[in-house]
Amino acid sequence: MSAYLIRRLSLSIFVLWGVLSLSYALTCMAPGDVVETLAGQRTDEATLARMRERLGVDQDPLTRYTLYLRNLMTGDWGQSSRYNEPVWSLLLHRLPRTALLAAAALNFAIVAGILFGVLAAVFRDGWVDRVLSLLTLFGISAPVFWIGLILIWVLSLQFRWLPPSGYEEGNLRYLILPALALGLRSVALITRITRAALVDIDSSQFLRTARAKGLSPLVIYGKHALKNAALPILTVIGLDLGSYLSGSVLTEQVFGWPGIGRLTVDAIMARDTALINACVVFMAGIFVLVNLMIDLLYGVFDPRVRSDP
Amino acid sequence: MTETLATPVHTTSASSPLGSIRHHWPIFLLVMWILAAILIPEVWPDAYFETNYDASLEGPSLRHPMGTDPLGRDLFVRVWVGARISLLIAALSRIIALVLGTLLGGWAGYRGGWVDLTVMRIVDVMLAFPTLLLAVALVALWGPSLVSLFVALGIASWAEIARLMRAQVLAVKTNDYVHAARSMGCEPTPLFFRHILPNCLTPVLVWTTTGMAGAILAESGLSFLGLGVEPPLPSWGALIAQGWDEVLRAPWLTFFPGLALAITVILFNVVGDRLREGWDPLQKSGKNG
Repeated sequence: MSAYLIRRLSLSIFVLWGVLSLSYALTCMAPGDVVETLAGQRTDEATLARMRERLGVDQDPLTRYTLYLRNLMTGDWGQSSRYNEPVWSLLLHRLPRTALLAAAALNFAIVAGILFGVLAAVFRDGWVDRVLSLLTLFGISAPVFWIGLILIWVLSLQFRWLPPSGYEEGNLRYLILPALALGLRSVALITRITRAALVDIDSSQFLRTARAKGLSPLVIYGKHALKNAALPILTVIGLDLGSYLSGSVLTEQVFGWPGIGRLTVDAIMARDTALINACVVFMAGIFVLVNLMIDLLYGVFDPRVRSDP
Repeated sequence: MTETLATPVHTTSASSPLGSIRHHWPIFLLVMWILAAILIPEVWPDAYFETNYDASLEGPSLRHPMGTDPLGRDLFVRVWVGARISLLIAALSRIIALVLGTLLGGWAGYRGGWVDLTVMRIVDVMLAFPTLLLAVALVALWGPSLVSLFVALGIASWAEIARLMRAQVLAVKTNDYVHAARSMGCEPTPLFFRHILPNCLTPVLVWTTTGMAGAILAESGLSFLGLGVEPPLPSWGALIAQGWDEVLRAPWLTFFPGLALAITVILFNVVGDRLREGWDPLQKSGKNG
């Protein structure tokens, strides 16, 4: 297990380095002079030269790249040219908000998805199942930003139950709509996989035993079958977390939620090199970390995995 | 899984002509939908760029089934031109992803060794890179245009095909007919293209159908962020974003483009599911036909 863990960890570090390098290469290739964009057109040559030196753009790309890597090792992620603040503090400031949004969406998705999945499996091929299968198809197919806008239109503009957009420290009313929009796709995916996994193990011996004991279908599926369906559900959640990152970019845009997603898009539009790289690596880091955790969680849910190398 | 094989799950399959139509309706609908996208902009009385300030922000009517935008342009024809653009960008991006993914993934699986190691590590990096952000960065780098959109979307998503293709090649290349061809003196390159590649393509093509859905969604996300094709060319994401500016007076401007987008994505998803069932009947067990 420990050899496996070391291999997985070193692969993760390699992947992060690759993402960083790709992102760095992309920002380097951007046309136009960053300094001139920053300073405006009416700046004299001496000031421009001073700014170039301060930002380090007067050196060749490879030197800058090695310097950048060395700075990263010492914890210096660079300075955002747009906000004039260390990238690190910007990220740390925005992180809790995106984490809050993602956690709320994930919780909503897991609870609703498993509930709907169990319902669909219990009433298999009945009207509940058919309605749910139509709804999940729609949930997987409709774009997250459009669902967000429709939610705003119905729940805030028509019924005036919730604020349409914005963010207020500690006010959870602002959280509900973006979390619903972001989580809806996952609800659909988890519903589908839960239903499929439950149907798959339907004819196994331990379920026959449970039925013979006279347990109600809800207990059979909700307790006995669900535990054995945990692995595929967990896999889907892990695979889908990537879409949370992309989804958060669009959702935060729609709901004016000041998190990492919006920060990244703003950074790309403003060509804020240091900030772009940091955001991209940060998101990839979360993705890699979650997948690592899911791999390790397999062992918790299915002890047979643990013995494998 | 073995139990599902014993139960007759193929009762809805194409045993009679009627059953065949019922089974293939998603494919039929998708073809009709694509034909509509090609034909409607040609025959509709309004053009997508035609402004008419006397008919600004009209509600849905027989003349304008989806209403008009602030410039009095007919939303119906704009949505269908948007369908054309969306389908075109998605299809071209799939071709790029398919070529890149098939060749690189196939090469990795076929050659093995350091080639496999190198390609698959690149695939790992690409999969960890947030897809939408990569596309946003590439489009921002090249400037928004039709070409940069489909190239960016293709580059952002070839890795999944490569991984699938590699697994396929690994499975196919142990077959007897491959050994037979090699022992008869078939060179590695023709061996790959003539004997291995064609036998790996089915799942890859199935994936591409579902991938169309993903590409259409990603394109709409990009154009929603303002990185779509140049106006006055409409694209669904941009139509939704523009429609939202007038949501209080004309909510239909937000509603209809999103609905068209959702229907298109649903059709590709359903057809992809059907094709996958045809390729791998085991998958049927989990779904209701």
